[in-house]
This record gives sequence, C-alpha cells and structure tokens, in this order.
Amino acid sequence: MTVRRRAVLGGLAAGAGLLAAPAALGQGRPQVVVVGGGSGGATAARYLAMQSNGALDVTLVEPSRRYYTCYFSNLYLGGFWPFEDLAHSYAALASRHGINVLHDWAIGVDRDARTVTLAGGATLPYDRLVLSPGIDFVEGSVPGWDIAAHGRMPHAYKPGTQTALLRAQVEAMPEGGVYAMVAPPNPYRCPPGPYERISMVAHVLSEQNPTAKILIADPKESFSKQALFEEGWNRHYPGMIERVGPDFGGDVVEVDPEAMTLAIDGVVEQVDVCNVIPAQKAGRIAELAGLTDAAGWVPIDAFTMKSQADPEIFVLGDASIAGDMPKSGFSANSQAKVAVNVIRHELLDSRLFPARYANTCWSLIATEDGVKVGASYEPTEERIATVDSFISQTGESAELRAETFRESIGWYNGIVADMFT
Amino acid sequence: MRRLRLSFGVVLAGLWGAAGAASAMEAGTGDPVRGGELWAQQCAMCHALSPAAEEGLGPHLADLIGRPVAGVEGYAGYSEALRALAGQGAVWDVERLRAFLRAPYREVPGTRMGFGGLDSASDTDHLIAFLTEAGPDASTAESGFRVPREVLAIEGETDWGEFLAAECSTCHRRDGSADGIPAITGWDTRSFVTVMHAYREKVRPNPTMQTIAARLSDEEIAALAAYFATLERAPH
Repeated sequence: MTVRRRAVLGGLAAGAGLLAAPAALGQGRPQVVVVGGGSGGATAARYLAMQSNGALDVTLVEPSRRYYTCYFSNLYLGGFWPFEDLAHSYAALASRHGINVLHDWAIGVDRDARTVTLAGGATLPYDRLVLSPGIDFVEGSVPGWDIAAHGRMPHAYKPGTQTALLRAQVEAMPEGGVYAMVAPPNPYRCPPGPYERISMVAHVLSEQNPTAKILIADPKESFSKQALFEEGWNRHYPGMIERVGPDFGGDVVEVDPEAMTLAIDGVVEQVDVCNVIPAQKAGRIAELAGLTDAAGWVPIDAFTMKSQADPEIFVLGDASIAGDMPKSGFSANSQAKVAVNVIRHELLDSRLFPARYANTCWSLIATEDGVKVGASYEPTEERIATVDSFISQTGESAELRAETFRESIGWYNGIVADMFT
Repeated sequence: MRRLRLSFGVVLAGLWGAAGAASAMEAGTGDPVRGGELWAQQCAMCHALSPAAEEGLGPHLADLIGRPVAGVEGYAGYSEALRALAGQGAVWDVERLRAFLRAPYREVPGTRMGFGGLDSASDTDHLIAFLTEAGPDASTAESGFRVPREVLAIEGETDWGEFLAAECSTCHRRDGSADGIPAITGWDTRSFVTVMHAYREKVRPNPTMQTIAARLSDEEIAALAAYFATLERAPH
C-alpha cells in the first residue's frame, strides 16, 4: 500500500458557505456531489449517507426520475423479466437517507472552484465529487449510423425506451426475417451483454419465428464467455445464428438506416432489425471535466478510484479504466464502496480499510440456462488486478445452470436493494 | 486447514453406486447419492452422522428420522425454539423434516442453525433419502469439515466487518430477505465462520463464494460473522 495524502479540511466549510446552492441545507457539513444515479453513483450516494449518519451533505445529480437497469434488460427482450421490474425509484434515497436528489443534467465541472454546474442553472459546491456517468457513444464509429438513427436502428445499450423499442421490432419481424447486430469493439459496457442479447432474441424467434435468422457483425476476434454462448447457441438455436468476425470483415461495416441495410465488408444485406451497438467512451461529463484520456476513458488510481488528474474527484463504473475489472454494474457497485471508504476517511476521519474489489456477471442463454463469470481484484501500482477468477464450464448439468439462473435473480434483487432501498 | 479437505460426495457415490438407484425408488423420489453430495456441501461442516463423532456446531444426525426434536442428550446448543417444539412432543418425521429443510427460519423461527434452506423440493427429497439410509451405518461420514476451535473463538471486529460486508451486500440483502441467494443476517457466528471456511477450502461448491472467501483471512471472516450477527433475520 502506498501512503495516501490526507485531505486538508481547513477552509472547506467557508467555501461551501459562500456559494448559494439548492443543497444549502448542509452548510457546515462536508459536501459530496455524486453525478450519475446508476450502479456506481446510486451505491456511492447511498453508502455515503448511510455510513456517515448525517455528517455528510450528499447530493445526487441524475436526469432520470426512474432508473432502468441495463442488466436484465436482455431478459426482458427474451420474455423472462417484466419491463416495469427494470425500473427503480430514487424516492428512498431522498426520504430514507436524506440525500438531495436533483433530477438535472450536470453540464460542467470547475475543478479550481470545486463546483458542478447543472443545466437547470444551479451551481453545486463540493468537497469531493463522484462521477459515475456511464457511457456515451463514439460518433462515427459505425459509418451511416448516428444517434438520430436510434429510432430505426436502436442501440438499446442505455436502458429504458430503447430496450422496449428493440423488443417491439423483434416481435414485428416478418416470418423468416433477419435480425442483425453490429457488436461493439473493446472496451465497452457489459462484455457478455451483446451475446446474452443474441441468446434472448434467438429464444423469442425460436418460439415465434423459427425460420428467422440472426446475423452478428463483430469487430472482435473473441468475446466474453464465448465457449459457453456458442455451446448454448448450438444446443438451443441450431442454425439460427451467424457471427461474422474480423477475419471475414466483421470490423468493416456500414449501415443505412433508411434502406435498412447492413454492409459487411462491402456485401450489402437487407435486414429487418438492426441493433447497432457503437464504440463507447466515458459519459460526457467526464470529458467536460477534463479527466479523460485520448481514448475517452478516465484513468484512475487503483487504491482509491480517484481520477489520476484530480485527487478530489472519484470516477466509478463504466467511465473509468478499472484495469482487469470489466465494465459492469457489479463492478461499479464494488468500486463505489471503495470510494466511499476513502471519502469518509478524508472528510470524517473514519477508519480507512484497504481497497478490494469483486465482480460477477451472470448471463442467460435460454430458459433456466444461466452461466456466470467472476473474479476478485486488488489494487496495484499499475492497475486493478485480478486475484482469483472463475467461469461456468461447458457441459454443466441443467440443474446447476438452473441454480445459476436463480442465483442471478437473487443478485439482481440484491444489487438494486443495495442501490435504492 | 487444508488437511480437512474432503471428497465426501465422491466417496459416497462410490459406496452407493448402482445400489443407490434401487433404494432411491423404495424411499420415494429422493436419490441418496445426490443427497450425499448435498450433505457434504451443506451439512457436514456442522453435523456428524454418528453419535461417536467429534461434536460439531450442530447435533449429530444419526437415526434422525423418527427421532424426537432436540433429542440428542448432551448437546447443549439447541435453541429455545427447538426446545419448545420438543416440549410439544414433536418428532423429526419426514414431513416435518421436509418443511424444515426447505425453510428453516419459517418453520422454526429462532433456530440457531446457520442455513437458509434448500433451493428445491427435489434436493430436499434427495437429502432425506440420504439421511434415511445413513442412519444405521454412518461410518463413512466421519470426515466432516471442521474449523479448529481456536479459529471459531476469534472475536470479530464489527466495524471492520461492516466495511467488508459491503462486498457481500451486492448479492446478500442486509434486510435478510432472500430469493436465489441465501440470507446471511442474524446467523450464529460460529455457523457463519464454519460456512465461510468451508467455501475458502472449497468444500462448499459455489465458485462465486469460493472466490470471495479465498482471500479472506481468519480475522476477516470473524469480522464478517460478527457484523452479520448484529443484523436481524427477516421474518418470513
């Protein structure tokens, strides 16, 4: 462990007093602003409030009034999870934990003044800032597609209405039609996500439209849980799914949303659904705060989740470069707890425990056919590094797969409780 | 610690082999070989199958079927709840056992057993088939996983446990409710410690829990046990 700099608390309270803000209730208490109410941000806000017994003034900035999880949205596509059960309210964070929940957009960070500017006009002072802004898409990464086309070619890679749209499109496919996916290059949110989605779409089509085809254009040589997915696709959906990897031009694609065509290495295919998952980068506020690298992600300190560019800003979840940890809701939740421990130590002099991280990603391949991959991690000087890992095996019994699926439901209900109750 | 590693399911599978299938039919729907695997994974770290075995956290379960509830003389660990049940003359018949194994905290609120119940009715039948057969000759079951007394005696630090527990509560809910992932609140600390050591030594099978437990020290496990013991077990 390296020795971490202790925060200097003098003057913070005075600074907070000078600036008018909707969160002025907390004058005199150290102020923590959390931007982004997903797995990283909601967890951070909740734990900051819960573990400091009112000693911190915690503000959560999140534009949406209801949070739709990305995880399990594929299960909704497959008919295994109700849409409304993907949605979660911020009410308990405000009423039970006393967090100032502001439904607004953060549009700027002044790191010298230590303030966050909101689209609604407010300026929030902070002693510590937590950014957990998720992802944005890299413009131009899929030629022919831009965000304006997401009504015809949905990404469904940010939760909510896009997911519902994609499902409606799958159900409206003509008999024997083609579902196409443009899979993203690394790194991206939820590594098994595109392939779980393929599984769920295949499940629906095998029941409703068994002569339909699924075509994946993939710029990656290999992907998460590949052996498990491919085994499952062969078993449950034989002949339905074709994946074109980079050897055959899967990395050279172009789409035409008007014509509903997908060109793979110049070969034009007419498709009925085209799910374009573009290349990704950190959510825009991270870039606006000047924290991103050339690739658009935020380098962090592995011991604390602090931005390497600013020791008063913590960056969680998908937006961060978290070493061996995948971009997942579980990872973000785990990272939030490390950041909270550091923030409480710096602002309230609470006990500092050494950072540790964990992740597990469950995926559903077919009815009761659940698999998982996971690891434990520790900080090193270079990065967050894997300590120990595991993955489901091919050829597992149906009983074990069903148990893994049940476990995933337990995890889902667990993590949303850990964020929102 | 690693000396206690056991390959119990394998041993049992070998012993029962083909005969297991025939006796499973007689006993009903349960498969005693599968039940033996469940026993090794879920029960054997706290219970023995022979009265002569070294006492575990729980009472021995020799000749359990038909035995009076809380009926092992000399076992001091029975909860008030089980003693009260015994006072009504209750007996561990198959029906009571089946209900108890599925949902111990619902069937006997106040039991000290650190086990949230089996996931399925078929697993319950398998385990009962195993227990039924294991009664008369339990000599195969003496290698149950045991945590040394000095490790069980470690006093856990609750605030350290609270920090470490953040890693658990991504999946295990602090309010004690459970679906698909067991509740771990309000457990007897010795049960908690035993179960975590069993994961760390890979006696229990779940790879997620094995990975989590692999890097926990004895003191960290004790801290977690101390913290979770302070949380209420949810009423069912």
